[in-house]
Formats: sequence, structure tokens, C-alpha cells
Amino acid sequence: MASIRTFETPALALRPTETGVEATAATARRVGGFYNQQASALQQLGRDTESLGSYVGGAYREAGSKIGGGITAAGDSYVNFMDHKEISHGAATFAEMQDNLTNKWNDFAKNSDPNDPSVAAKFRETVLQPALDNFTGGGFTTEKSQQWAEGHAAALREHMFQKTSADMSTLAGVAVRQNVQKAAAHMSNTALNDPSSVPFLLESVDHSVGGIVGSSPNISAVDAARVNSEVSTSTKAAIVKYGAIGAIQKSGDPERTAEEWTKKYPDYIDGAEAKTLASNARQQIRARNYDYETNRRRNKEIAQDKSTEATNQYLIDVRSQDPRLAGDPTAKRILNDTTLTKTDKNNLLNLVDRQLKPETDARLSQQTFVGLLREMRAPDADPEKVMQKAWDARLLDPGKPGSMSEKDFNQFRAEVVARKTPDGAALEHDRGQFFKNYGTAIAGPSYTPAIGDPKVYNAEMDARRVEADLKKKGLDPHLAYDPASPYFLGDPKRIAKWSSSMQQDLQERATAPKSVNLTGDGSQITGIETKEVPISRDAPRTAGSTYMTPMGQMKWTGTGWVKP
Amino acid sequence: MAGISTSTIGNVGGAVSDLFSGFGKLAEGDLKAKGLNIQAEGLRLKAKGDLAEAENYDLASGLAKENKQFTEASTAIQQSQLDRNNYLQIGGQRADVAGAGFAESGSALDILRDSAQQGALARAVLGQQGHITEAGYQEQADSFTTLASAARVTAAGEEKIAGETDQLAADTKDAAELAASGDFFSSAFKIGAAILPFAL
Repeated sequence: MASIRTFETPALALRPTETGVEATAATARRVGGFYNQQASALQQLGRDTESLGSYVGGAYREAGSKIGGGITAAGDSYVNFMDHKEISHGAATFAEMQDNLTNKWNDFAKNSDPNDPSVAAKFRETVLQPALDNFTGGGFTTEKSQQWAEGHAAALREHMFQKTSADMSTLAGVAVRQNVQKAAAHMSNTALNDPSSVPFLLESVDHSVGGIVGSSPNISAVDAARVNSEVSTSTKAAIVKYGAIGAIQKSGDPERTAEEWTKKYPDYIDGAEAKTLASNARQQIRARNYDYETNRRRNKEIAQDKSTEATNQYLIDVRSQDPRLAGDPTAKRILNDTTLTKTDKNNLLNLVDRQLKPETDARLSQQTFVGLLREMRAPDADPEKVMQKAWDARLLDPGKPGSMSEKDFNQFRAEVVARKTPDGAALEHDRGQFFKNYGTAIAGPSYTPAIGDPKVYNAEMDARRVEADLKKKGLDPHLAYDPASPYFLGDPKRIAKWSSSMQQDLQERATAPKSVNLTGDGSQITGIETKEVPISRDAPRTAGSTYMTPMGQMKWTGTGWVKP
Repeated sequence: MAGISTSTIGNVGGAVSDLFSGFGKLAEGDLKAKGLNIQAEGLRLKAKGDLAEAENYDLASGLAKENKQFTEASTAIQQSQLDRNNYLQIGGQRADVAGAGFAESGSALDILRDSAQQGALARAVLGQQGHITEAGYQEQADSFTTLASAARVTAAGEEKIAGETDQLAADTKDAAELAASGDFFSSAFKIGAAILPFAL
């Protein structure tokens, strides 16, 4: 039998694969991972950007903080420097301003009425405040220096406010005191003149003082109370005291009256004071008498001065018409010299007149000179009186006893002038002492200083020449009277010379030709022609004409002057 | 007129400090906002990645489902081949029985019945194996679908967060500008405080 085989198919099966699935899944995971990777990077960038933002912000803040801090530090240093500079300068300016303001206030207050209540306010408004404004407004640019200036200005304003108020109060107090003192003076005068008015005056003191003090607008309460207390008490005491003085002065028994007042007003006057007042009253009585005598003498002097002035004028009038003096310019100057006293002027004019006369006898003049020297050396000598005697001696006519030559007169004047200086007085003392010791040796045993002697006179004149020579040589003139000096005048030879000179002089006189009186009886003069010489004048004058004279415009009548 | 003081200088320094602080805050706010914007972009990028991943998971899911269909077809083919083998086996046994002159009874019948039972068992096992494989592919497809869905949800969430981050950036910038304005005003007032005393 046929074997027919059938087709045997292998075991067929579809086998699905995971490859695609896994690949796709892996792709999905990888894609997500890539995205995540990129996203992570991006987010990191974001975080970094945020961090950068924080850093940048911090950097800005730090920079700002440091710059701001730097500005603050630099500014603070500048401000501190300016503070110191402006305050230092301001301190000096402030001190100067304070001094100026104080001085201005002193001037302001000094020239103001102390009773004017607006003085202090006016000063503060017109002087103080502008000065303070000027001070605070100038040169202070920093807050601290401005605060310093404002503080000082405020302190000075306060100080000046108190000072001006206090000063005005003080000035008002002074004014009140002055006013009260005026009233007190009137009251005291009333009490002095009328002691019986003292009780009434005492009663009215409080009212008067209270009224004056109370009406003063500037005085403070403290000053008012002080003034009230002090002035009232002192015024009452003054009234009582002056009342007592008045009563004592009018009393015949000052001590008893003083005791009565002491008992009556024990609060204002005590016993010792009253006794003093009584004693003073007696002294015052004496003083009043003295004043009376002084015034009487003074009035007499005034009258004498007036008389002297009038006499002077009359002297001018009379002397200007004296023909002997009219042409002498020196006499005119003497006449018109207002610095000369009447006596000196008269002496000088008489001297001018005397000069026209012959010189007096030398021996007479020596005696006169020695006598005047003796008077001047007297301990109680009055130089003015002795000098006037010298003038009178010089003005005596020649030949009259007591007359004096011009040379001796000038020497005597020099003596008087020299005595007025310490050196001159000392030298004169030495000279006087010397001739007191050597006078007898020079003039002989009969020498009497009170009478004098020509030898001593000549020796004194010689001694003065020696003094003058020593002065010219620059030496001390006292050497002439110093026994140890080579210039000592007590040298025996010199003394011998002085003592013998008179003898020799007499011999010379005896041998000299005698003096002849040319105009004496029996005399005959030939070869001499005499002429009438008119008195010389400054210029010829015409009668009826007006001339300028020391007395002003005067009219010449031909014989004298009259007022035109 | 007021004067220069340490407070005046302090005001000037403070004004400069505030000015720089204001500029710093502006820069800081701007950069932080940019950083946030960049982070938002990163989130968006992540979202894109998630979406791309989801698409691939969708593809993988589709492929798994195709594998399931392949498995079903393969099981059917294998069952057909098993059925044919079973038929050929039992038909040969019948021919042998019949050829041996045996009746289809007794042992012959037992043999035939046993063969039929074994064939049926093999077919059932094959079918069951097919079902198991299909179920595995179905589970795989479902898993990828779930992943794709989750990726999309994540992407959506990231998009939302990115939007909020952008808003946060805008708010940060606004806040920085506000803070800078405060510093600028403070600086201006301090300058005014420094100058005002000199103007009065």
C-alpha cells in the first residue's frame, strides 16, 4: 500500500519582540532625561542669576555705604575744623564786642536821664541787639559754631539785660539820692537857720523820701528799700545835726545846748558828737572871725590892687608928659610894660631920670653898699624891703648920704639875685663868713662890721672878681674860701695887700692934683662954648595934632596931652 | 540761616548710601526676576521633556499592544497546528486499530480517548499560554500609557509652576522697585534735609 506522507509543518509561532518597546521606552526616558538635564542647567543659571542679583545688590549697597561713610567722615572732619576755626575767631570777636558794648553802655547811661525808664530798653534795641545780630550773623557757617555764637549771644544778652537794668537802678538810686540830698540839704539849711523847725522836718522826711523813691521808675525794689532806709536815716541825722549846730552856734552856752539836743534826739546825735559840735561851734566862731578878718584883708588887697592899677594909669599919664622921659624909648617901654608892678615901674622910671644925673661919691656908695649888705645878711632880712632900699639909695641925688653908685647898685642886685639860688646863697654865706673872720685883719682893730670899712668893701669886691675868675675857668668859686685851696683868699700876702691898699690910696690921693670946680666963684673958663640943647623926641610934634601914645590916641596941646 | 553740622554731612552720606542702595535693589530685583524667569523656562523645558517622554511612552504602549495582537495571532496559529497534529495522531490510531481489526472499543477506544484528551490538554495549555503572554503585553501597554499620562500631568504641573515662577519674578521685580523707590525717596529727603537749612 502506498504510503502517502503528509506535509508536516514545523511548529509555527509568532514571536513578538520587546526591542521596539524597550527602545521606545528607553528613548522616552532618555528624552526626558535630556530635557531634565537642560532644564536643570537652565534652573542653575536662574539660581546663579538670582545669586548674581543678590551679589550686585549687595555690592551697590556696600559701595553706597562706603561712599556715604567716606562723605560723612570727610564732612565731619571739615565741620570739626570749621567749628574750631569759627569758634576760635568768634571768641576773640566776642570779647571785643563785649568790651565795646560795655563801654557804649557806660557812655549811653552816663549821658542819659536816670529817671527815663526807656533808656535800657532803647540801648538794648538800638545798640545791643544789632551788635548781637551782627555777631551771630557773621562768619558762623557750622551748626555747632552757630550754636556757640547763639549761646554766647544769649548769655551776653542776658548779662547786658541784667547789667543795664541794675545800672539803671543804681543810677536811679544815685539820682534819688541826689534828689533826696538836695532836699536834705534844704532841710538841713532850714534846720541850721531855724533849729525850732527840726521836729516838723523830721516828720516830713519819710514822706518826702518815700515820694522821691516811689516815683522813680527805674529803681528796683531792693535799691528802693536800701535808699529809703539809708537816705531817710542819714537825712534825719543830718537835720538833727544841723539843727543842733544852728542852736549851738546861736547859743551863749554851746555845751549846755549840745547836752539838751543830745537828750532830745538820742537816736540821731550822741553826747560825744554834741560835745564835738559845741567845741566846733566855738572854733567856728573863731573861724568866722578869722574869715571876717581874711575877707577884710582881701577886700583891702582888692582895693589896693584897684588903687595900684589906677595909680599905674595915672603914672603913665603923668610920666608920659614928663619932658625928660618923653623922648626916651626905654622909658616908653617901661611905661607900657604891663608886667611891671607900679613900684618897679616907678623905680625904673626914676632910674632913667637918675641916669641923667652925675654919679654919686664912691665912698658914700661904699658905705651904703656895706650897710645894705649888712641888712641883707641879717637873719630876719626881707630881701624885698632891702632891695627897695637899694633902689631908693640908687635914686637919691648924687652926694646925698645913703646914695649909691650904679656899679654898687648893680652889684647889690646881683647879690640879691644870687641869694635866691641855693648856690648863690651858699657862696654868699661863705663869703660873709670869710670877711667876718678876716674883717679885723683887713680893716684893723677898729673894724666894726655894723659900720663897715672901705678896705673890707674893696676886699669883698676883689673876692667877687676872684669868684668870677674861678667860674670862668670852670672851677668851684667856693675854692676862694677853702683854706686847703691854692685859690684861698686868706693868703697873708693878699690880706696884707687888702689891709694896706687904703693907706696907699690915701697917699695916691694926697699926691694927685686937686679937683677944681669949674663953675665956682672966681673961676674963668676959656675955649669952651655952651649951647642950649633941646630935649630930643622921637619926632617933632605940632600943637593941635593927634598922635598914637601909650594911652591911645592923644592930642598934643604944645605943653601936654589931652584926649581928642 | 542754619549751618553745616555733622548731621548735615551725615544726611549727605546717607543720601548717597540710599541712592546706591536703591540702584542695588533695582539691579538685584531685576537679576532675581531674570533668574526666576530662567527657572520658569527650565520648568517649561522639563514639561516639554515630559511631554516628549509621554509621546514615546504612548508609542511603546502601542507597540506592546501590537505585541499582544501578535501573540493572539501566534496562539491561534499554534492551536491550529496542534489541532491538526491531534487529528493526524488520532486518525492514524484509528487506522491502525481498524487495520488490526480491532473494533473501536475497549482498549482501542481508551487509546483514542486518551489521545484526544492529551490533544485537548495541549491545546488548552497553548491557549492559556497565549492568554498569559497577551496579558503581559497588555500590562506593559497599560504601564506605558500610565507613564505617558503621568508625564503629561507632570508637564502640566511644571507649566503651571513655570507660570507661577514668572509671576514670582514679576512680583520680585515689583518689590525691588518698591524698595528702591523707598531708598530713592529716603535719599531725596536726606538731601532735602541737608539743603533745607541753607535755603531757609
